[in-house]
Amino acid sequence: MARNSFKDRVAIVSMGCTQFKEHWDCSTDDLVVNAIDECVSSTNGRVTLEQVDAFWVGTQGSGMAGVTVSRPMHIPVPVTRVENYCATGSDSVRNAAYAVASGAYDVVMAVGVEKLKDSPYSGLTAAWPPSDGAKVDWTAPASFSVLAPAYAKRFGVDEAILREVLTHIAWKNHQNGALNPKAQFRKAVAKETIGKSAKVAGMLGVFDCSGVADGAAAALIVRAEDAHRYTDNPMYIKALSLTAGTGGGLRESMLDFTSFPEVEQSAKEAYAQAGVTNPRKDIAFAEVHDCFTPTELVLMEDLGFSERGNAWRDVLDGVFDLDGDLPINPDGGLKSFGHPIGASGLRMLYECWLQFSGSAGDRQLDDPRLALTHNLGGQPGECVSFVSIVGKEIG
Amino acid sequence: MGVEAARRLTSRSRDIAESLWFASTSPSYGIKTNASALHAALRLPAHIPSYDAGQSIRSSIGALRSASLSNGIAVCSDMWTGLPGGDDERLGGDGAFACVFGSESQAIAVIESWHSMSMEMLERWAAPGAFMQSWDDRFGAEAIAESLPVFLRNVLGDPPDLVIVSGANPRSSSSLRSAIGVQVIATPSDTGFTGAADFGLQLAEALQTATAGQRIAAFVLGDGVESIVLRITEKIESWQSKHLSVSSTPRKPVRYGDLLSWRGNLSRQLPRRPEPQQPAAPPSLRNVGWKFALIAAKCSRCGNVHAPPERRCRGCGSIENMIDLPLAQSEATVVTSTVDHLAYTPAPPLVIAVVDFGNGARSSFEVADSNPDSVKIGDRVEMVFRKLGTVGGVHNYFWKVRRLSADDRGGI
Repeated sequence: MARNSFKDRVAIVSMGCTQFKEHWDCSTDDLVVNAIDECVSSTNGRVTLEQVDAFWVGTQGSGMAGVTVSRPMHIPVPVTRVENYCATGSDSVRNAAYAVASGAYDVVMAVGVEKLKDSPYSGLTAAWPPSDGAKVDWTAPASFSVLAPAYAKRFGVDEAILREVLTHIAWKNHQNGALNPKAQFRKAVAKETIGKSAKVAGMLGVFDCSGVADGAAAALIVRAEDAHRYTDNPMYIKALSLTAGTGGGLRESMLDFTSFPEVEQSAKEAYAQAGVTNPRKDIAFAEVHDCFTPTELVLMEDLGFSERGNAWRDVLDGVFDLDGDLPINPDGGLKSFGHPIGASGLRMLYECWLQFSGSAGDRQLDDPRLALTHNLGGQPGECVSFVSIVGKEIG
Repeated sequence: MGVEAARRLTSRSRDIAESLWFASTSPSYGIKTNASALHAALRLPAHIPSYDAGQSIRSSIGALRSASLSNGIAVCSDMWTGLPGGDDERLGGDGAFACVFGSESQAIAVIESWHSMSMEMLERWAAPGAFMQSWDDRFGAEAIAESLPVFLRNVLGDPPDLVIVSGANPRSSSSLRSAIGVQVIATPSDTGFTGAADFGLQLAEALQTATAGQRIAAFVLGDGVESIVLRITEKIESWQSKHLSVSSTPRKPVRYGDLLSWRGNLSRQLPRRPEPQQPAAPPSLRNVGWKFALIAAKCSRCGNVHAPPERRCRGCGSIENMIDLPLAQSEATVVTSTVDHLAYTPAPPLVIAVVDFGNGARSSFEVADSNPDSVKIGDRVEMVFRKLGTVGGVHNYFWKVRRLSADDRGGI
């Protein structure tokens, strides 16, 4: 099985991202138009919409087919709709990147969009194919909540301490989001409020769950050697990896729900592609899929940022805080930036884009050079995991 | 409940069954056969017929009588519900009973005689889909009292050792008891009157302590009266050693609000979630083995077990080597569990467990009869046949798991 390195072959030369929030006054079309418009106008005329050869649009359920982009933009070009659970936005980037790398196109755009708040539902929903009904219909918070007791049991962490750990993760992401003008929730939240929030599933309260939001984001992607024609500050793609799991965690007696094997695999591949040998040291910051607080905890170990069984200590020690050794989700993450499914993977890259170009405002980190984004879809035991590594310069 | 009762028949009795009869005053479906779901859950061969025996109380005896003509299984299952606040609600209960007929040499009881007296009278009735109504109970009791002496002379000519009286109208039951006179009369169970299942539950209870040679007369009241006279054989002892008493103590007290809601007497605030999908007909048929009988697939090449069945083996990748592996009688171990406060379920909150069957297979189920926080990693569970919900008039039957406690093992 060949998994060839993709390092520095492709660059992102512009990005756009709407605010993530309950956009009562915006349709899917409006969000698509706004994100693409920001992405194109940010090039200051160095790229026009007409120069974009093809689009990949990621949406989990807010539009069908490529017309999700071509119709509101009134452009008759190749557009591919991508769906891959909550990793949808990342996968649109991945496919767009491969298309320019192949030489089939010169300039492509990846777009991600989700319009969730035209429905009255709590949490995320999906249109599943008809079934025999012989299955458990559990919601996302329930399926991710199993991580917490499993982690506590395996590593002997007291439940009260685990609660503190989860609270710290939510608190940290809200702190970060408060500094972000495009985040859904722009307010720091007291730890007492987080710890006592109304229960949703297992030990997870409302504040352990990501925000349900509307939003869109876009990235303009070209071959690395062409990048300086379009921008002075390209963001180079060092690695792209995707693992779609076998579902074995829910069907075979193998997983104890303290890890995502799919994440471990996709991270390993990404590090190999990018030549990263010590992720905790080499990566300046990461945007990870904190759909629920225990997810972020487990990801710290699966991504190699913490030793197995030590992430909970690292969280409490502030390692992943904005001023810590390895800031995680400086933009506020899914927790406070919000989670419009198809847009989230691109939103993570958008933060990397801002941080590399020194445009991250109050949450600007000190000259970061290498960052990781991690995007997850599905549930523990059966998921798709995406990892990208992006850098400020070639090499 | 019908499935749960029938599962407690010995596997041999399912092997010899030549027909399946189902009686209930509260069947899940009209037009569609209800007995066919039992048939699927019991894994009876397709050529064994399955029939519903009407929607009246006395149809329970009809089901038994029909089943007795061949080596048939009769299942009587019912939910007896009146409107809130009424006597029928107060005195009613839910229950199910199953029995199988076979050769006299294997029988625990031999039927000596059937007796029947039909009377067309307006005593208890319901328009289709509507709640039960009743006439003044005094009328029913007195109307039947006149005809009882002649009927009883036939039944009780040779006095039985025990009499069972089952009826919805407490006054009619009293009339019958007085008319019978001195014989030992079984005490109705704590569950209350369980409609078409009632006499069967009383009979099962009586059989727990019956001794060889005893004779039992069971009476079922309703638009007349039916009676069966049974003689207990010496096989009863081996049956008694294998069967546990009928439990009327619920594992988890049912809240009155839940009961009203399940019976359609109370609308509750639904979660802000999409309504679950109606089970679709083609996949329900394709997967009937898993959905109704919990039959997994085992790869005959490498032994890997797939629950639910899969086309391609996870172990060796082969495609054509799957054999049936029934899991309904299996125990399993909880790998992890959670409580979902957001999910759409008739009995919130939804309790979910991922369980290992000990043969490499893992699957996720709802947890039945459980207090939300009581399920722990490592708990042992058994499989129970339940209704997950009803969408658009279609009932979603599937299996759940239930925590095992020492007093309800065996029997299945």
